[in-house]
Amino acid sequence: MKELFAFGSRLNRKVISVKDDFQFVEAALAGQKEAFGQLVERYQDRLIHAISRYLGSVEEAHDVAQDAFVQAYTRLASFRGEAAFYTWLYRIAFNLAMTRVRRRRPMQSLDQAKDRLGNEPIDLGATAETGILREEQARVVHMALGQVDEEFRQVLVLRELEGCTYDQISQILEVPVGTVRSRLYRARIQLRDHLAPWLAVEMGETDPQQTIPKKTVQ
Amino acid sequence: MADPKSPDELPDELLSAYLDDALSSEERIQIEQHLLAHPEAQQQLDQLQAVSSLVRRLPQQPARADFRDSVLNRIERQQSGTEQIVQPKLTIGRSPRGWIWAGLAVAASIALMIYQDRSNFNPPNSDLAHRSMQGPKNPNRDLEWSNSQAKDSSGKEAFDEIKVASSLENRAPARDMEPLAGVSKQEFFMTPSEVDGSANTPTLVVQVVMPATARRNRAFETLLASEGLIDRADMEASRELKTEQHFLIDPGPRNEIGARADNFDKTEHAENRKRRLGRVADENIDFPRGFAGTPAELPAEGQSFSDGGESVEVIMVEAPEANVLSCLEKIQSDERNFLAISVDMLPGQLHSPRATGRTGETGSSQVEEGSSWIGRRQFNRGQIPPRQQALQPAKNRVRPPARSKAGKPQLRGVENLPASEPNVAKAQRKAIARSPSVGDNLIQVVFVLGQTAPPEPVSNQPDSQE
Repeated sequence: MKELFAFGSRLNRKVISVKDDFQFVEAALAGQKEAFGQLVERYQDRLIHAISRYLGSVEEAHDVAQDAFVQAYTRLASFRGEAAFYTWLYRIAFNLAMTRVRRRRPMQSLDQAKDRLGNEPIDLGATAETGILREEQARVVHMALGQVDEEFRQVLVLRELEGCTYDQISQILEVPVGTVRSRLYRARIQLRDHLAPWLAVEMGETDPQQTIPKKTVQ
Repeated sequence: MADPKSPDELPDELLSAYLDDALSSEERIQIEQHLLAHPEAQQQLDQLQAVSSLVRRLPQQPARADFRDSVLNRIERQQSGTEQIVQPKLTIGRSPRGWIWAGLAVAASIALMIYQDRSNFNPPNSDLAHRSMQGPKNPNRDLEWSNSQAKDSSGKEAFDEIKVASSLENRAPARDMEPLAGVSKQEFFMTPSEVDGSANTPTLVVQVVMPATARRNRAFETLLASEGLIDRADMEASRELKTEQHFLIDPGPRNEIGARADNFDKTEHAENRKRRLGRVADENIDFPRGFAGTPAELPAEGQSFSDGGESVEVIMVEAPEANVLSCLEKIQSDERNFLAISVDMLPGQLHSPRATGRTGETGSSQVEEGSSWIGRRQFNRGQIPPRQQALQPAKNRVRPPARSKAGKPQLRGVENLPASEPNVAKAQRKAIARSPSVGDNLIQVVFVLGQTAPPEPVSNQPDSQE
């Protein structure tokens, strides 16, 4: 429980105080739907960002996030404030996302996954300042992420995008810490193999313009 | 390189963990020394670092502008329009009624519901089948096939129902069932051809009662897996199905089988349901009454997800008919793990006007038959019997009189149980075994899993205490 609370605190490290969340939860429980709207607004971007990187689809991430928020609202009374709201929400969302991925898996080959990732327009966010290269890099990394095994990818997302500690990941995914460590390592290795040319750039060894092939990741 | 810190002895994942500062101090020292001595390890570390950095720099994927409103609207819709969808989970956990029902029904059964197309699985004598769970040595149970809904000779129109097992007669308090208003069976039981153009794949529904321990040990899933009906991934999926889709327990009359699943996503879930269920409308699964499911809550913080459910689950699979039947046989012969099982077939509904594309003359009657299916579950009566009682030979028990309202045709099978039940049972068992259609035909199976009541099933019913 302490771990979860620590996790929650960390997740809420940006501008948001946990206390505010509790107040909103209380208000929502008292019937003020708008208070729950505040919570949605507060966390929607982070949630969708992480889930979309995990699922490989912004569209699906929106669906999952919506389900998660609705579920959270439905069972808001069971939220006891032992963890931060976002932790709690995140567990709901991530479990939904995992379910989705696991159901998808038998029906979908890697090629299909690639196609899906490749065809789906990716919101690259504010890339104007960083230019085409950055944009291309994000696209490639996103696609490469999609090719990392799901169980590794989920750990990677939790670690890199959510900044969870191993203990926190262990609790969210309900796997031993040793497994977290191992999966994270494998995720990085897989990603490294997919991203070899970009890594050279990242590590400052070569000129990106000359190194990066058009289709880095198939 | 006899050095204990040689590269071979350092798992590479330590490098990754080092990156995350997730090593013990001892390990960290070890790694740092190793890095000093091995430039190639340093290079690998740099690569991992670069990978990490690339991922962290992925641009944000902000929510759509209308995301917040869409969430609130959905909550609003569910609260106003179909409150049942949003609130039951609270109801179950909090309302006295919910607990009562949970105590009775959740404890009640594993349900394996098997609806089957008569054209693929057509017992020669379609009567309501009742068979107690007597195990292999007591084959003379009351197996009976019912075809009380067969209004015409087309067979396709008929509504067959097998109920194997019935140590459950005393299971739930007798109350008349009322078809749920607004439930349209054909929405759910679309033919596969309507879904994906394939040939008809029948669906069966079976209900089984298990002791709590067997349920916890997942004896049922293990059996299914051993019979090739599911694999482990499906076992997991079944849990997820339960938790994600919120199969809701509706504290309705007795333990009729049904479920309501909300929050279906039209794309992903429709795909999934097509695969697993074969015939599902695009929207919600609307069983006549909520049964199949648990409160489906996320566990409290710190509680294992897989421990979160009550005792009812839903598993949906598709398997060759022979495997399904073999599985049912095993369930019946395993007294230790399975107290009872009931099997239903619903071919008639599979040929609802909408499903078959037929319109006109048989249309409305088929819809009626669909809803009458609900009432046919009234064979379960009374309280859940203790296991010993459940395992007594059926002849020592008094079959409760059918309490259905007269004129409910769907209850005919129960009311008119023939005196020669054992013979019927034998005949029907043979009929199953000899069914010419038994073979590679695929059957879609809906399992709804439950267990017998805990020792004090009503101990946490607020109203019963006060």
